[in-house]
Amino acid sequence: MFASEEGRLLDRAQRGDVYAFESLVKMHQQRVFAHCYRLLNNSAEAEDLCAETFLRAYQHLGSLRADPSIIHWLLRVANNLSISVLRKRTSRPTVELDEIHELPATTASPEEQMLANSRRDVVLRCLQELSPKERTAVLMFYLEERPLEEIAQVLGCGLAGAKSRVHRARHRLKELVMAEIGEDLILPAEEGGTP
Amino acid sequence: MTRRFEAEDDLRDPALTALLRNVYTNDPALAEAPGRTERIMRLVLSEGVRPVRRPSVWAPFAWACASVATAAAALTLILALATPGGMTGVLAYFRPAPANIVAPDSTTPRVIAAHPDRSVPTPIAIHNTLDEQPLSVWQMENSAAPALQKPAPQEPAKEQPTVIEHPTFVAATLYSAGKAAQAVGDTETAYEAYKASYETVPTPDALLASGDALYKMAQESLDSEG
Repeated sequence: MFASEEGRLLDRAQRGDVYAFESLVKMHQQRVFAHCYRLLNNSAEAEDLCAETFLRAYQHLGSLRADPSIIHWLLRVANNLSISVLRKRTSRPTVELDEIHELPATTASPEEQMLANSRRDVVLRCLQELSPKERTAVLMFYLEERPLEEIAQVLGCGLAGAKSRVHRARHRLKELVMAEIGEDLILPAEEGGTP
Repeated sequence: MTRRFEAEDDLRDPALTALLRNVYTNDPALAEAPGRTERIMRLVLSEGVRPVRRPSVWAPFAWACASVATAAAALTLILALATPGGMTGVLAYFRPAPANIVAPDSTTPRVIAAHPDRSVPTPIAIHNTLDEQPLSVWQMENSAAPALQKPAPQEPAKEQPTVIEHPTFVAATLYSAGKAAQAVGDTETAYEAYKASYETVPTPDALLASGDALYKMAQESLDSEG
């Protein structure tokens, strides 16, 4: 039902209906933005890249296909644009912690809150240590729980390539976290109990 | 299909998923941003049309150069095909004749001026090759041109002055004589000299052919001199 709705909107947009294209933007902009933001850790740059992605989609509207969904094309473009931005960041090799917002108000003690903050910073820093494609693979597979086929389409590789990239990225992330804090944050299941 | 799902299941790690979700709790990326769609649409509608690529400034110049070069090459090819001797003939056509190879006899104008009623001397028939017919410029009236005859073995002309009886040279000499006669007021002689000069070389083709022959003759004389 959703796929056919998207196909109908894409068909109308390809015939010049701007409102149909706007509906497609509304449908996918959140996910495109989130993808860029998680890769860049910068909301302003993510906003720009999100807009640029849809601009490119509009310019290549005639070649877009809604089978299975244009979101794969959009995420692939957003991913490539994000990688280009990351490559230009030669002067900022570390994670920008300014972009990480404060923890929500909880009943946890200040010490617990500080520890949680510290762990979050560590994980984010370790994620930044991964290559952009590895980061994309980890975030899409573990955080968004996307299938390997979709990751392969976004990364522009085969299924086996996506699988090996996910596997390698997970191990590398684990090693980095171990090196940072000396304990394994990933393996214990009780650490991430709250989704 | 089942194997693929098994592979995915092998890779799944609930602990890592939970950790990442915990890290991105209250992630602003997950919150709906008001006005984002409008910003995107504003950008799309203002810059969505792909700009037309402007033609390069050098494109017409390059096209002009290429056209001229092509035309020149084609012309050279046509000339080479049409000219006897191919490219060598074409190049020889453009090669300037060596200067001061054939020195005109200084006595000739005076001789012609003194005897305006004298007929035009018979030119020498020149063959381009042994099999070729002599040029039409040599077949003039009142001249016994030995065109098709085999040239007789020439005796060494010791006491004879070297008089180059070439139509072009004769025409130029006659013209000079006419001019000299006109300068001294002898209009009748001048007229006759002018007339004879024109009749010697009546057409532009003949003029060109005589020039060519003169050039060959000069070359031969150079070759014979060693």
